[in-house]
Amino acid sequence: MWSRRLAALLALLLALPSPALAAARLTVPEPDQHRVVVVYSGRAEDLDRELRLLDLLLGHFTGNSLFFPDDAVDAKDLAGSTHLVYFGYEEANLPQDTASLLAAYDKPFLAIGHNVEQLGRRFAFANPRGYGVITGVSLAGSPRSPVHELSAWIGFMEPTAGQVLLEGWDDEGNSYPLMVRSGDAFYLAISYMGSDAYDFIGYSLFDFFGEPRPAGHHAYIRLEDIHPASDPVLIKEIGDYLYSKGIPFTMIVIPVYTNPDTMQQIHLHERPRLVAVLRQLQSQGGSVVLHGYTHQYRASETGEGFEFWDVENNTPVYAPADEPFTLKGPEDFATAWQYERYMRGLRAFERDYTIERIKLGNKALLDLGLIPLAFEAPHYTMSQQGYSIVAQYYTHIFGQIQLTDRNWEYMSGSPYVSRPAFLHGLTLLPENIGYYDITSPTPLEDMIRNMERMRAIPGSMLGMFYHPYLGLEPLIPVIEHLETFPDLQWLDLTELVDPDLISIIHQASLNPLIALRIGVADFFRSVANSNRVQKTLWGVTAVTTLMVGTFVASTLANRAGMRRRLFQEEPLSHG
Amino acid sequence: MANTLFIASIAVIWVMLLYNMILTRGGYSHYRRYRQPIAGWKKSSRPLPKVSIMIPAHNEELVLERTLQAMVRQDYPRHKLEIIVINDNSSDRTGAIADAFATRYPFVKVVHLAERNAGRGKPGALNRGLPHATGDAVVVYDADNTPERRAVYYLALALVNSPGVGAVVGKFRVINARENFLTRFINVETICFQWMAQAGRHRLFGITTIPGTNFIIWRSLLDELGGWQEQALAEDTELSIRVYNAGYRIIFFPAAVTWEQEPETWPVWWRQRVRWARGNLNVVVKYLFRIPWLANKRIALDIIHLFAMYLLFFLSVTTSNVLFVGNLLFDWNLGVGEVATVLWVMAYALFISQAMLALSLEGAELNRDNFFIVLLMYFTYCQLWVPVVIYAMLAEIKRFFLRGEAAWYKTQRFTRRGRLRTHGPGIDGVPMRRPGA
Repeated sequence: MWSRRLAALLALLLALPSPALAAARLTVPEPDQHRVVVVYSGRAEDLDRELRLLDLLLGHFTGNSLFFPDDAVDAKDLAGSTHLVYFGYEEANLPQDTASLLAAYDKPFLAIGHNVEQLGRRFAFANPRGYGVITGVSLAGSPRSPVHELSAWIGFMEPTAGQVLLEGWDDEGNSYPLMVRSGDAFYLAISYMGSDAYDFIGYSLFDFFGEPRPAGHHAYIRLEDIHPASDPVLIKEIGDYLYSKGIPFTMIVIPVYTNPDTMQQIHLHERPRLVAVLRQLQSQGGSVVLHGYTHQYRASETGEGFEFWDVENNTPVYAPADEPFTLKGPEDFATAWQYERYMRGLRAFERDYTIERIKLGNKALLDLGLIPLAFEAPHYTMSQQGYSIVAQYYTHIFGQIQLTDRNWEYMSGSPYVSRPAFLHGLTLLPENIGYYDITSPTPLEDMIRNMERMRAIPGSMLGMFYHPYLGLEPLIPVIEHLETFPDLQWLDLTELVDPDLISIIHQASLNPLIALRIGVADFFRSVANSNRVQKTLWGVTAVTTLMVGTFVASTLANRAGMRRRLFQEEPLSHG
Repeated sequence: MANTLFIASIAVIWVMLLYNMILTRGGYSHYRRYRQPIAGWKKSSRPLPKVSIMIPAHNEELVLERTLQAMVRQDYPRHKLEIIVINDNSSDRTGAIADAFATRYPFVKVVHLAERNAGRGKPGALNRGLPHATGDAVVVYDADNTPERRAVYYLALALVNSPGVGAVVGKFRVINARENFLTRFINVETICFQWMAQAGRHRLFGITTIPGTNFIIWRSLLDELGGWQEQALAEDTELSIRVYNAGYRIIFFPAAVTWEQEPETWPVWWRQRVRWARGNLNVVVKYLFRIPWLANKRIALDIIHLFAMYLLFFLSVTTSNVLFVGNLLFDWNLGVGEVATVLWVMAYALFISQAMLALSLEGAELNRDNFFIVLLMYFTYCQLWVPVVIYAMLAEIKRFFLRGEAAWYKTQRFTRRGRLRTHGPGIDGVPMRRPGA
């Protein structure tokens, strides 16, 4: 422990003289130093997806972004903010009040996409002329990275008016500024988030937040889909290899295996050899991550099926696995109220189902001495409600995030560790590299290509996973390629999550008494953090509670006393 | 702005509730101790005083007989007892009933008043009966009261054995509590008023106010004070203040019990409560700025309490209600957070626990029916206090500008198996408390 701290201190000291070399941080500071307000224009259904993508980028800097449509924001909403983002997803005429409110904002201000001409003189430097097609992007002064074709506003600025942070290139080798700053005003000439420029935009935000640009990279490797039918020998071999190289790793565990042919279940405790291997690897620094309870729903096989998403209906899990289910729409109901009630019922089912599965999973692991430090949703699929539930049990989630409840296929990671507002406090440890996919003719090359893509994003996370049933052999070149990255730091989950603390939280979820104790402690902490008026009122509450207690006690004592007197008086009256 | 107002109103409300909590503790402590001196007093050599019971009666034919039955059955030496019925210009058989008792019992006297002056009411009748009283002490009962046999004895016993005390107030209970919801509410209210406001103030601050019935006062003191004030709507509060100002104390002695009937219909209740509220507002206006000149500063606490209750507390409750509802509708962003909700729940819990404690002091009143009455009355009966005060304020403002006379409305009697009277205006004779936010 001491040596690790000393090493960290040394690393810090060495890094100090040249802050440009500092890696991006692994935790988003709490409480939030930056308070971001996002104002957006647009009515399209997929706007929620775009806003969550933006939130995932902002989430590296703050967990407390507030989002307002352009017709529902006022000065009060901006009052406490440190940064403002305007997201022009669609062309719109801003309400007059909003336009003047935004134009008067004097702190760092990032405008994205459309309508920048309505944001006042700060954005006079941004003068977009029209759409163009971009096939490559580069950070200013860096080599070009090829991207899927993306359209952007091009030819928009006076070349001397600002500092270019991000450039786009067309097929003919012409470059166009994509992100430009002028003082504290930033303009991004792409009107949507879901493009290949996403990770580059994330890097540019370090300037927006006035934080030192990161360098180097973080990386993690997950041993994926370990379940009771997994081969402990292969797992041990891979774990020992990583341990010998000093690489911290995570074990993504599913406590119950379901055989798809017989529907027979095998529980982890029925596989003592496997448990022994996992415990040994855990003691050597491997971290256990809960990957659902069965990783399947209905008749699918463990590791293949989805658990928290009904993929047949492309809906959240709204019905028991053995019941056929078709989602009804508002047209199937006589009144909106009836439909609303129907949906409430479905969501309540999903909530209970999710809570039960997480609790069962935690219990199965904890009973075997395995401490699940974080969560990973099977196939990264989960509804927004699902994330809010996970947030009650975990602080960290691995992989990518499903962005809407309409379609599981829209999911995203982020270039950096992120604690976006929409994850209710969960921190995402993003996966950007993929896995060794044996269905591809070139699994290793695919991974290397992804690593190289992320190499262009300084400080970014190289998150990936590997299925242990493939054996050790294919993993070695992957690790070797990673070792070509200078300044690579391996993510150690045990440094982010205190195993003692998280196991107390899990125990609490299983044991009401512990939950009560934690609840009480939480309550007192929140009282301690409240303002003076609130503290006084809590004091009054305490006094009142005490008095109510004595009144109730006196009442009960009198009641008992009255009975006693009655019984005493009875013989007297006969006498 | 809204936030500051909200916090200020919560502050006032909770200062009042804290004061009430303290009163409740004090009342409970009085309950446990008030009987202790009785044995010593009985052995003491001080002779019981000659007592004149005064009963003002205006058209009380339906209740007077039972009242006088209870009076003549009083367990008190006959040669020291005198009962004076003041027949205040009754147009019914009140005078005849009283005369019949006078012929049968030599210690019963009747004073017939030929004309009833508007606005004089009860204080006027008492003043005119007073010259006929020959006792050393005067006991006042309303015409619908049924005192227990030893009520007068206990009043006199406490008075004669407590040096420096000018008057002793007994306890009253509701005889028609089970009649309907209204009387059940009044019953709970009455018990709480006595055990919290009266007993609590007596134990902790040495203050009691005269509630208009079932009290004893030295005749000499009445003479010194010049009797009752006939303009006052709250003539008993008024009298109490003057007693203290003359250097005497009033004590609350719950061993003396009388039973009385309460309004059974809402209109009657409304008129009675508006009269009390107006009376109390009058007292506040009249005495608040005279506090520095009051001889006995103890009673100042009570005037401040009345002021706090009828103006500050009233405004705070109204403000906090408006803000609370407004916040629900318009989201004013009141930054107090969940603690405001918690406090609101605590105010309710406090109300219930205080009321149940008071009920437990009356033995059988601690029952399931009353528990539900208490749960219910917080949201119903108690809330009526707000319109009563608003109405009373408007009436007083109107009277102030039009220079009108204070009219003394007589509480209407009922012609069912019993009928009723009410106790006069007591200082806290209003539904007790109100929620925080």
